[in-house]
Amino acid sequence: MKNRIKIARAEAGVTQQQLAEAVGVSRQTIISIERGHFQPSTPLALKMARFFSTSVESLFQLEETD
Amino acid sequence: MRITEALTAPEAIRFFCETSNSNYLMKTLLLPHVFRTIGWTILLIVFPYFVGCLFLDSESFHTLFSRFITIDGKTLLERISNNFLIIGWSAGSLFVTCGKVREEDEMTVMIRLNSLLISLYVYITLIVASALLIYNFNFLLVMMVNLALFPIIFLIVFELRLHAYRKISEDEE
Repeated sequence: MKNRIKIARAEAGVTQQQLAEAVGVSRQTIISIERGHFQPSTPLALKMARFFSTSVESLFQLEETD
Repeated sequence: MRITEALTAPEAIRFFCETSNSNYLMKTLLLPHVFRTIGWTILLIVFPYFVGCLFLDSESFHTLFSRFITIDGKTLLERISNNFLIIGWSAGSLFVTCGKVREEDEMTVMIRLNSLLISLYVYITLIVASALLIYNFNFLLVMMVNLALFPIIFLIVFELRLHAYRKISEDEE
């Protein structure tokens, strides 16, 4: 699953630490999500979407292999 | 309505599925973070004693410890030696591995789960290998070590993976 969290952060001018504190996880988790090493749970994905005032589908997209 | 009918009624099924049982299943069973500190303290006390049991000959080891504590003319070592080692090691490793890390989130939960699985695989492999390679009275030593082996393996694997996880933060921002 690919994501555009990094792009959304850049557009919003938000650091990884700020995003992590806003959604209640550690900065390492945000880094792992951005790199595609970790897939967030549904509540976490929804929190991120709400933080960026967008939909979950705009942040996360399924790949062919998923 | 008979009991069997009551238990299979849709209302009863819905009740058991939608009550706080689901909350009970989702509730984390980890200990508070302070227990990790307590656990490491216990392990730092127990570990030198464990090393002493392994590598020092019994007479010099008894002499070393008997200088410090004596109860009713008998040394502490004679009274609670094995219990001190087994219970201390088990409690210490349990507290460290089951205590929440400072930043506990879903990724650390996944790391903990994977560490648990890896530890189980290693533990079972060691048991099978020892059963195939070690016989007679030496196997008794294996059984004694196995008493506290699984928490130790889990502790090592979990801390290594946590360390690698924390190093991720050296990334850009």
